[in-house]
Amino acid sequence: MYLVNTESIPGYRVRQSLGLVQGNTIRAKHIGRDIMAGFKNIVGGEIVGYTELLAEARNEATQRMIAQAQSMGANAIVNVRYSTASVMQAAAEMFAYGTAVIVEPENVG
Amino acid sequence: MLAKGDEAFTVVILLLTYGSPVVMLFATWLIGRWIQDRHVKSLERREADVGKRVIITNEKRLPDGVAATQGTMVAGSVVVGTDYFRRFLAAWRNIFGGRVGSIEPILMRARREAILRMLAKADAQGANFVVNVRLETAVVGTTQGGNNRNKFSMCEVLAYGTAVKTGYDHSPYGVTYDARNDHN
Repeated sequence: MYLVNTESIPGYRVRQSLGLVQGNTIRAKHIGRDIMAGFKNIVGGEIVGYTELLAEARNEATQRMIAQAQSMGANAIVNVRYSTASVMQAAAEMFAYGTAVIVEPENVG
Repeated sequence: MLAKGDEAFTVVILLLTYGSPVVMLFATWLIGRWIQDRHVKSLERREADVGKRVIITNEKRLPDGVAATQGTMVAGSVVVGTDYFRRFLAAWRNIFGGRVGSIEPILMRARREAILRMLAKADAQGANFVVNVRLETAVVGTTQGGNNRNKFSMCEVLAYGTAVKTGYDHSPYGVTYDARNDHN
């Protein structure tokens, strides 16, 4: 499965477009991390626990999108976009979407 | 941004929290500045290093005449918070309005950090271009508890793009290289 956020994949030609695929996940923060984040927010800087949590969540949203594309018989997703929204006070939604396509290698020469 | 040794500072600051707010403001001002200086130095060093090998553009495709073999998506993200002193300044700014200069550098540093993390992944794959780069900033929520002034929100900055490998050698250009030159 090729994943790109451009309209095409270099070296490949889109044979068929299968439509929009998407994946999402909503993650809540757990209280221990919240307390640590509170400490970190006194001196400033990166909140590593959250960076990991959100990266993990984004990965899961991507995996769900890939699973949907695979069930459609696609071998690539182009024009992938990510979006993040805070849906509750302590939870964030990760959303990934793109266009599932079937690509084939371009004939060289 | 925050190394392991910073936990010790956090403990000291926590003790001061229940001490005097004035001491607290002064201490977080100093430590916040120290962390910022250190981070900016680290950013500059890494940008100069990775900039020799990877070029970043938010154009949708590669410059004319540059052919790529394959592309994969790379992303880098960072969640940042603010320190007590900057929030204090921002709270004052909220009364009179205007530019919140104390918070601006935090987001800019976070953005540079997210881009660098993305570039590091591209670099590890042997890619030398990242095209169609998108930057996104999102508020990921506030912590529970605390009074209104001490409530803080955390921001996530995400950078993502498509890493491609080309036969193009741009090492002499370094970070100042401008992809638009290639359109001539």
